[in-house]
Amino acid sequence: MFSLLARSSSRHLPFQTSALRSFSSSLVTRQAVPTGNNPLNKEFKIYRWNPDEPQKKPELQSYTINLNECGPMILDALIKIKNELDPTLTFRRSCREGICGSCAMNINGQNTLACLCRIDRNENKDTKIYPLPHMYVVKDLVPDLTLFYKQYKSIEPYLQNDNPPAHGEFLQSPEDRKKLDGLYECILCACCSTSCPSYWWNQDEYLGPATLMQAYRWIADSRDGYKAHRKEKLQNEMSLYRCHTIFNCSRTCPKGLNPAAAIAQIKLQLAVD
Amino acid sequence: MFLVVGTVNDPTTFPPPSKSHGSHHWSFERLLSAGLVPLTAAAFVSSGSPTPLIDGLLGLSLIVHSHIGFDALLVDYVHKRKFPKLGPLLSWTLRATTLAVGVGVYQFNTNDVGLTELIRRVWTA
Amino acid sequence: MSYTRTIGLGSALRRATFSPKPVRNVPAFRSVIVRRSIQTQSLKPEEGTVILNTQRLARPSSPHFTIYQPQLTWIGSIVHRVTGTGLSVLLYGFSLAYLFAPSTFSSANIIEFAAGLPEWVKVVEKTILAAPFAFHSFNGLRHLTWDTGKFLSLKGAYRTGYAVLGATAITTVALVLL
Repeated sequence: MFSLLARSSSRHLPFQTSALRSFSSSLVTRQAVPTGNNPLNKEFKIYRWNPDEPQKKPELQSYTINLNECGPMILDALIKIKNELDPTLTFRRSCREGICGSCAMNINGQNTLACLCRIDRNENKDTKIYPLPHMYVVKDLVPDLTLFYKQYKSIEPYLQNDNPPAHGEFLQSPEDRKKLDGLYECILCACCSTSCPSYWWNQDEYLGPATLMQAYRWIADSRDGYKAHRKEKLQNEMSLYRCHTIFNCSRTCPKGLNPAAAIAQIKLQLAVD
Repeated sequence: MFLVVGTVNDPTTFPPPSKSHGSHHWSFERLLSAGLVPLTAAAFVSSGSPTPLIDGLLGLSLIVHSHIGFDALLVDYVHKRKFPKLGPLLSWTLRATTLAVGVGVYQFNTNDVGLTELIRRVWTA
Repeated sequence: MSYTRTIGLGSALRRATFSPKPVRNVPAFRSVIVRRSIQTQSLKPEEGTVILNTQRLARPSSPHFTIYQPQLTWIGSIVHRVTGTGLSVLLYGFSLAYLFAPSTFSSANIIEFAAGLPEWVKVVEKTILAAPFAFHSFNGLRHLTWDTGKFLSLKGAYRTGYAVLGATAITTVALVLL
């Protein structure tokens, strides 16, 4: 183990095409790497900003890696860069399977999850990676999501009903349960809200598609008794009505959900009240 | 500068509810826009002579529609919470301008050929 | 092989106590005392927010429309806004001009001016007026259908979007040729 650590720490050159992988501890894994393959070098341009040098302006840093020694997703590339090229590259990640929402970032102009976004294997094009748009940057690709979570909390995302059933749980028909499909699956990755120009300009007062879709998720839940209260809270100029159906949210959702439709339904329900 | 108010665990707050700023405004805007469709169509197919009724309705609807559009621009980009002086100033300037435009269009429709006729004649000049 | 660094009081005391040297290991005790005198400061949550806000002021805001991929969704939306603003500015401008100078901007004068322009200028002018009008009108209809709840999927948005573009092109040509 000690000897392997020493060997991998001596790998400083990015263009090495040796079959060695860092931190692999078995001979079998080393033999599994195809030898004799031409390296497929891909350039990644990644947004960097260091809070320890705050006066230095953010800039794009270029990294080139061999895609033949890397997993297929952008997150694999980021982890490879962090392991082998630049350990100071900072980003959030957890499940690597598109369910936790940690690795949300802007890849080639679109907000998506890095673990679900395949690397474009065209070596003539570079891939640009930015943090989620119009957010305060904590470091490199890590945005400050404090306001996003505060907004989510403000819509009271929990069941409220003053008349619980005498025994057992709140019953719900399959038709009513179906109304929640496409709403409950949201992983709160913030891709949609940070793709919305209205959220860019009015983040502090406009709730944004993610929060609004969850507000609708609770309005549409047949078991919830506070529908009128939830709808009343949105009766103002800013919280809901900054939405101009731009539709960037549904376009960018990495889980294939449709916040734009949910927001349109809220507007319709408020109008007929 | 969107500073965090209270602690990170406090939810954001809502302004007091007001349907006039909320759903009523939205519904009015949509109904007006929908009304512009048959009105514009009627203006298109109206015969060569000036039609004061259509001109009047069209003028009024277009002005209110434009005013709502400009107002949306101001609320989106120059809101008073970020621009405490410029926001309200532009808002009042808009209101004054809309009134003046209303008078101007009325004058034009009354003393001159009217909007539809003007467009028709300029188009075929 | 575990390569753990020993931290904390226990190991330092152990090293000091079981040291083979006859004299008590004074440096070890000194380092123990120094390590233990770490100052902690308790903050109320609101004070933590003050620290967060000071940090936020120093943080840059990540780039937005400069790096976001142009898509039919938001490009269509901003064009709708720009065309609407342009047409409204024209209406307001003309109305104000007529209000303050009715004789200069009378319909007769305007028609005379328009008639005197060279043919190609007329065509360009008509296109500049017809295209925004057509786009804004058709996209406006698209917005109204969305507000009734129709075509609210991504496919619906794209299909209606391309339909609006097609209708705009055809109508602009038709209007200019009128």
